[in-house]
Amino acid sequence: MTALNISVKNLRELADLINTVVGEAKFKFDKAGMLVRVVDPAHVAMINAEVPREAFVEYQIDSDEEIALDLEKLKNVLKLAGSNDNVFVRKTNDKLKFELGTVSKSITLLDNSIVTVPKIPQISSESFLVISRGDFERGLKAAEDVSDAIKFTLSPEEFTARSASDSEDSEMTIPKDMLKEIKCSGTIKSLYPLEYLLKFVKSIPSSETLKLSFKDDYPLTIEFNFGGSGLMKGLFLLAPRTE
Amino acid sequence: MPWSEKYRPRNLQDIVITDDLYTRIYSWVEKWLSGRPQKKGLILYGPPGTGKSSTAYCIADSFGIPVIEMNGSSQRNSDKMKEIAGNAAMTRDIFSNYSEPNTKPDKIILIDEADNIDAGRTGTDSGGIRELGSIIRNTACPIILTMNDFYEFRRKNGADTVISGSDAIEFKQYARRNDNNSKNFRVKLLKRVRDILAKEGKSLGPEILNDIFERNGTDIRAILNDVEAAASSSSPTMSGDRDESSNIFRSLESILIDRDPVKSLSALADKDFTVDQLLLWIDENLVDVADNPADLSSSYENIAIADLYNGFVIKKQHFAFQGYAQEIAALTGSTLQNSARHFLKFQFPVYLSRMSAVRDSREARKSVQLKLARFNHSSTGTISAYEWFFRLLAQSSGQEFSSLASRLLLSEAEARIIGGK
Repeated sequence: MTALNISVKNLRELADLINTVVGEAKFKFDKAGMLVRVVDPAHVAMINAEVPREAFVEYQIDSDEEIALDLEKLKNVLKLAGSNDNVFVRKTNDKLKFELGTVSKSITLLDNSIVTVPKIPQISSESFLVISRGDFERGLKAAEDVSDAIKFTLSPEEFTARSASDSEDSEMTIPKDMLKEIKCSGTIKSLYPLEYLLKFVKSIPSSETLKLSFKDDYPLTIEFNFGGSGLMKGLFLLAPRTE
Repeated sequence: MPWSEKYRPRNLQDIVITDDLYTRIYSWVEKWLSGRPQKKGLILYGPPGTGKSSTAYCIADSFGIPVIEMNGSSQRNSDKMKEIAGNAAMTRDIFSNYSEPNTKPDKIILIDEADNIDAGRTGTDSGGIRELGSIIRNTACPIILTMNDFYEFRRKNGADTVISGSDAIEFKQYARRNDNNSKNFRVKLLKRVRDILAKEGKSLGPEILNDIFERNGTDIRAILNDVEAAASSSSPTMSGDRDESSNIFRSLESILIDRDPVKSLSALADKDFTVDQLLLWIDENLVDVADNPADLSSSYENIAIADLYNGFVIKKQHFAFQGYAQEIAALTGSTLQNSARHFLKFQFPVYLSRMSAVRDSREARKSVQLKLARFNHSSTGTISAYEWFFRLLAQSSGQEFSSLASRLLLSEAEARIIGGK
């Protein structure tokens, strides 16, 4: 029998995060904890989220388990609860039952075979920076109504996020001493679709810092911790725009 | 899983498509291998089950790149189009091989059943087709569109930019029976079916296969379904044609060109258009078919009678009259003494295209009449008889007219219609 108890806030944040790229997702459970990995239908963004068993109040599984869910339904159930509550989740046959204090509700599971889990592509780059979530979001928001793409440039001295259209432009420059960490030997730059980044950053309010790595015309990798206790580990991959 | 799904071709060796058609499609693909071509889209049109989508998958497979597919009606408004096809068109694929230089497209976007996309006249939605047009103009990767009815699609709102940015290829395996292409098709089909039968450990005699091939034409999905059914039954014999809904072109051909009354009637048994449309189409094309005036006159007489019965449906509120209208219309061809034997391209009824061209102004007129009728405590019929008054008012005293317009909350278009400008 699979039975879980987790804080509503953590589960809600996870659902919001995954929902920025897909509508349906498969959650995999094993001894170490839970894993969700999704890619959006346009093959532009991928999210990998790991929730170790320590992030659960109670974590009970008999064997490895897979649960495929409609995220909109999950979010609707969680709306019934307050942020400080815990939710008790139990799997029975083809249903997932949620107990939220005085309310209980069950939702139908999706067929495991129709929701696929993608492989993580081989992506690695030497250069990275660690930036506060707030600073990063400010730079993205400045670009929001300018263009649908944003260009990141990283040099040993600074990180800039620039966006331009025919009539307007925006730029955020953060010198290296205002970054939490930086590793970069030359100058690298790459262009990314803005909308995905905005949705992503908005969905992880509890994350404090983001580790961004990329290189010239190469996918962007963002590593972050999220959830109330910061125990949940996330990875966001974003393909570059063609120029 | 049915065989037609299980053995959906995954590479170019397996797909049943004539060399000729393959060459034409491949020449579009080749342009993509040397930079961005002018025609960034490829429209494949033709009947269902012939392998249009499979071809897209096989092309992608031959380059080892993924297909980003959009289908299903829920994904068809302009927002969804932008979100999936738009993003995919402007961005590299996350699964692309980034250790190699980016010289070739790293994915193919497939818009399945593009003729079902919402042309969008509702609310703020600017229409999925219009959006698709701008995506094709700006895309960095190849886009393949499949559709059954290219002619229907061509008349939709915003379809012109889609078409001007694309090569359109009719997915027609061969023009005539026994031409070189049809032989080529037959050879490939037979090989593919035998391969599948061998993999399943079954066999079927040549007469049965022949029977199945004859019956289904180029619909490979239907062929595989029949082959599967025949191979799994103990006494594999079947006869009778597959039910197939007939489109307007096929029906017109049987009514006006072949002129066999029995066949014409049966062609209408399962039609995907209405009797009203049928009458309009016959009306439009009759003049090209009938060679002499006497013929023309008698056949117009005939559809006039059919139209009369069709009118009875509304007048008498009895649907059964439509049956008479349909059968009389089906006999139009057999009243002809001589007729054109040469190839005819059936024309779309002018009446329908004119009506759709003035649709906006008709609707504006209707709504302004309603507003005026309510204001004057009269019927819209009365208002329409006194339209000259408002036009005169607008011409002689613009101020009075505009105060009336603002009082009735007329939109600009409505004021223009009633003001006669």
